[in-house]
Amino acid sequence: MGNLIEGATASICRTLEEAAFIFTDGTGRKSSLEQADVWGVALDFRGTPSGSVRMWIGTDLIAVVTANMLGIDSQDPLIAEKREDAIKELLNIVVGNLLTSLFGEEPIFELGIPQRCNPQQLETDLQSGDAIWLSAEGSTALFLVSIPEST
Amino acid sequence: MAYTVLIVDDSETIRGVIERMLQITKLPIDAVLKAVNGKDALDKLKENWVDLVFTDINMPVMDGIALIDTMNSHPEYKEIPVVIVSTEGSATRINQLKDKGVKGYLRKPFKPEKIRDIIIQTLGDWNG
Repeated sequence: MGNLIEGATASICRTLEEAAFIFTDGTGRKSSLEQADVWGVALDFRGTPSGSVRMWIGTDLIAVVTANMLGIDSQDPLIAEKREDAIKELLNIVVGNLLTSLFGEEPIFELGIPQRCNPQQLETDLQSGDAIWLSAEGSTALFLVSIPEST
Repeated sequence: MAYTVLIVDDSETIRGVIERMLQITKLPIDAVLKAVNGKDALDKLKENWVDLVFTDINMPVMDGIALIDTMNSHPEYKEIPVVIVSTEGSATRINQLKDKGVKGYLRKPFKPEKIRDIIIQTLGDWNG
């Protein structure tokens, strides 16, 4: 699992940088997410193997991501309207690149549609030993890559 | 000559990103049409002349592969070049799509130069 987390972390950081111009480091803190207004988004994938990825991200960082992807100001009133789609698409891009990074270019994966998570799931995920904690723009993002066959 | 491009993606964000990148390329794109899935794309094709289609693969209602298959079976649409825009990186999938006549593949995330190059390559081939 350790290799998977290491590989996943590298891929996620690279994708956040390329897709949303978000530069991350591994200093994300649980306390940041506990205190913030946080959204969770999940995406399931089917293939060999199958699994899911969940992303928890504070709304401050969501605004930056949305602004960067759309090429607008982070204070633009349009952010509120566009952010859900932007964050779902970001996860879609993260997972697509992650799967290639972890499993190569041969396997075909079917990606599901990104869905908002039940907020109650956050408490469980905050305690996970397999969480990937990233810090960006003064905020924290949490990623959980779940591939049951690899545990 | 200016071209009409159809962008097919269920993500409003990506439709906006591609449209913005098309503007950055400064290529002669006269009109940009957008569709939210394959079915919506076919409706747009019925009503508009389209020179190039960018389509995602994974979309609800009708996905990109079903759209390509439908276009290939329709005499009016089969010659319209299609470029896939997707997060997938499977070489197996890309080869399957090439076998269906797809002209190009853009892996998300991509830069404006990449979209410019693929348009020049695709429309150049189409015109040639």
